[in-house]
Amino acid sequence: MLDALKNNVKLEVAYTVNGIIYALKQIPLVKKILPSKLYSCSGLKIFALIVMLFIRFVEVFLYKVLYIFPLIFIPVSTFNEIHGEANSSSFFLHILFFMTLIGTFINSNLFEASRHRYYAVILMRMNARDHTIAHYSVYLVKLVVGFLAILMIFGGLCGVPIWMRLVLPFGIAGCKLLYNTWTLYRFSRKNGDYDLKKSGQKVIALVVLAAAAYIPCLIGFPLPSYVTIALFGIAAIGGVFGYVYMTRYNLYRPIYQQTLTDSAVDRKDLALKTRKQNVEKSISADTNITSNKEGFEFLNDLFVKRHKKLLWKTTMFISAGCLAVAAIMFVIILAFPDSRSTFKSVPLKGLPYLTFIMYFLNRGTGITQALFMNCDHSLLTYSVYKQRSNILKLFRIRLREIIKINIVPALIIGVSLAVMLALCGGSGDPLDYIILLISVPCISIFFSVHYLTIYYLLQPFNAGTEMKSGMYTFITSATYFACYMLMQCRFPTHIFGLITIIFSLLYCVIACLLVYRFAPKSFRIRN
Amino acid sequence: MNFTIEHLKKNFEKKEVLRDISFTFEEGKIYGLLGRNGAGKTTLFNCINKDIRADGGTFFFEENGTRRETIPEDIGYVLSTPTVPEFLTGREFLKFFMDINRKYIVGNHSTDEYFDYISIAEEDRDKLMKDYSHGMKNKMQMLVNFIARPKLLLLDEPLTSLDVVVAEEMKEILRSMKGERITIFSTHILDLAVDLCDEIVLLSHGILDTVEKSDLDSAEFKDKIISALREESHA
Repeated sequence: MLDALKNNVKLEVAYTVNGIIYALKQIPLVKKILPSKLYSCSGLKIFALIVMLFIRFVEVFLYKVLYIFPLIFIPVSTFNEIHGEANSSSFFLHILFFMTLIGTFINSNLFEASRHRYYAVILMRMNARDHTIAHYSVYLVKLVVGFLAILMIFGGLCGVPIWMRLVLPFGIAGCKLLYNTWTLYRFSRKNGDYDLKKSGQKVIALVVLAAAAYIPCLIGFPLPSYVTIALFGIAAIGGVFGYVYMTRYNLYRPIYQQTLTDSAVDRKDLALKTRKQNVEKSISADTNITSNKEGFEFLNDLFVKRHKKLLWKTTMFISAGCLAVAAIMFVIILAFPDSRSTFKSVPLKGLPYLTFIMYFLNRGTGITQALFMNCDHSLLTYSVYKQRSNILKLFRIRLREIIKINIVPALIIGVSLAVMLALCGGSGDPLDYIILLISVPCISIFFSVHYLTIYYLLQPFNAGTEMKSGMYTFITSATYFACYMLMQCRFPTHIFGLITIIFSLLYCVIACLLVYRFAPKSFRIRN
Repeated sequence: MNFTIEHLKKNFEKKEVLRDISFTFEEGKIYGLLGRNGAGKTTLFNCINKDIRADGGTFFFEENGTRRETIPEDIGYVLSTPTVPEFLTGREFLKFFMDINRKYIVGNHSTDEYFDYISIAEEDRDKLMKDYSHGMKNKMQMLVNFIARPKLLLLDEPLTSLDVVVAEEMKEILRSMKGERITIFSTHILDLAVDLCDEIVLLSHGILDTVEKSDLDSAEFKDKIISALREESHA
């Protein structure tokens, strides 16, 4: 077992340190000063090792704080305010007990499909039992040490006696051990025909346990302290037997063969596959879909028709939502005449907020992602698709389509605001109506152009459909920030509306010119 | 028509992948670009296709004594993993390519004639390509590259993962397509190169080297190539 422990540590150090060095190499300025033979540079390895130890150290304590503070300490403080502090210790132990049961179900570690386990057991063929016991023992030690420190502090603040605080970490470890022992036993009883990943029943159990954690405390009837501490004590003693059972168990390899599939290990890869599958699934299999168009119009027509659900469903949902909100507003305005003076200022003073709302309603990123995954990813490998005239032809067609999709909710919002203004007594200035009716669709067009332009100019995806452009991420974040800042602007309505319209139109012209100038070179699959 | 590469260079950080590539390829021939795994075959193709920027050197076409730069429509690039738009049926994909390549298409063939040519069964022609097999996708990729009639056809290990029947069909297609263009076929499988290609070019240690084309089928010739690759890789 000592050998297994050493090998586990060596393996973890090796890939974590390399991972840290790889991450350092992704930082633009840092990568220039890093030596080319990075992974054999001992100084860098030592630095990464220190970073790793620091991260592990922080993890042991920080995660527990992030769990105990919001889920136990804050609720206990609230219940103390309601029912007085006499039951503080009972509240704490009651919630901790049920939360421990929840944690046992969702975070048992033993069956977690981790990359580390995949490397060790599947790729390097370590003895599955030795690996498991070594790895799990370290996990238990970290668990007990972490909880001991954190429960000492938060338990103390809630008045839990010190001897109880000393028992609790062992009780928590015991719960996990007992649950794992039970699962291992079931697995062997059913000769491996036991689905370790099934989650249906778990969800129900978790909801019941969460209710059991908080509702009795809310009504002032937590389990008495001596009951919960006795349960923790029993769990701690049972855990010892569980540990012995685990050390003698010999079906770890079949378990890992069930849980450690390639896709489950690489989470990034899994997320990518899921995203790709979702986009692929969105292709309609309706054989009646055809098109009478030619060339790029034909391609676009079929793309839109076969991805109708993906492209239009959310937009229709958003539009229906906007209509519903507008209808409610109209009813309130008509039913309660007093409210009109309040609502009258909303359409005109709300324009800066509308930019932010339109930012969220715009579906530019989702659409460009679908365009890449299901269309450009393959067609960009054909030279004819990359010809200047063809890139620009398709850009124009797509711009038209994206504007069409996004403008539906914008028109609903624009018209609704104008109607709202009229219902609230109207405005003497017809320019107000014109600005509302034009500026909202203009903002929508701006976002449509913006996302398609940065897609064509930066094309952020590589052949593996991963996003690989820092600049793209920066620009999308900057867009968010700019929209957020606009909410703070206090311009007169007319000025803001006019600026919005002029800026949007000007941006469209500049963006299209940039695409015409640079897209034939930039619209490529990223290497 | 010739396609000439002069002193092409490409480094990835300090690693010189393409050191000094110079070669002239002639029209009507299939060139087998042989190199060991990681020798830089795909990098060379990516540079020629302008998917990545070369660090030095030039490449151009030479017709009737006149040099000119390559433009995208000159080049057809068939990847080892076929990529086709999965939301289209085979017939729609073909129609789209015929539409946008109208000016390059010679003759008036129907889509069905093209499908017959690459042996795609009638019942598969109107299926979405997301349901196509690897071999069928590969054939479609080859076909649309053929329709565009590129002057330079780059094939990056296109037959490696195909079954023997499809691989033979593809070889026939390539042989029938070789006139009026230059075909460069990269592979690390020596037998395939010997079987299909008119000339063998070795890419090793960042440079291109031709192998005398006499006796392409003899066993000694294969030994010669293997020892050349070995020697150069240990030079």
